[in-house]
Amino acid sequence: MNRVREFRRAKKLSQLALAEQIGVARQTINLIENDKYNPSLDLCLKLAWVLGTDLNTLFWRNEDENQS
Amino acid sequence: MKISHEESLRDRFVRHVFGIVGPMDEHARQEVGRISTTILAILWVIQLVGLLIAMWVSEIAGDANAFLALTAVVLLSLLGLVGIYGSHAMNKAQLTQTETTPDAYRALRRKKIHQTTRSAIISTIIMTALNLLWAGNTTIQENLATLFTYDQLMQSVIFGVGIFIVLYWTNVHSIRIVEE
Repeated sequence: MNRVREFRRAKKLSQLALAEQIGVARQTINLIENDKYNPSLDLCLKLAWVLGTDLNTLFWRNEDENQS
Repeated sequence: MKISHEESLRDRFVRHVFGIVGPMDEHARQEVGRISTTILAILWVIQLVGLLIAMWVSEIAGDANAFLALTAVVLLSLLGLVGIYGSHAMNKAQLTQTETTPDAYRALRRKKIHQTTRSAIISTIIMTALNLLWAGNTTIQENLATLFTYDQLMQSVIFGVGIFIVLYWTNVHSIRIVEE
């Protein structure tokens, strides 16, 4: 599971506010948070920039998570 | 860091054709691509099979007109099938849903009903005008006489009600209330 929701909440942003900032639909953010859509590297970078973190922190999975 | 949100003309066109409500982002593009590929496959296979059957039937019946009639049936059925699949798939992918907050719901619903009514009236006027054009009348008096025939009035009313129901379903019924 990625940490987009956790960082978004820490930044006190709604899904819609985050979506508007990076130019996607709210549904896309919802799908990413629920691991139902794999975003492109470009979108991952935008998310990391807006949420003030890096790709590793936001998306890196542990080995056991990767196998499940 | 500055993130560009500019939408190209092509994206705007695709968004309008498919009735996508939100921005044309990468997820929408991916879904549209998947749905279009399926539509292309449906068109390709059914058209090929349908036309072969039409050719076979007209050959057996020994009537060339049978081919034209069956081709028309195949093409119209395909159009309907593709339309139904397309709108169902777009709805399922949540690309045609309008989202709103509980506070703004009533105002948005009212706005959408007005838009739907306006679109239904304009579509009915266009359909009636096309009917009059095809009727082959030469004078305004003849056109008016055709316009107020029972058949023409019934056609316009049925078309108007039908298109209103379809538009209401796609515009008003698709509004979703989001709490967050």
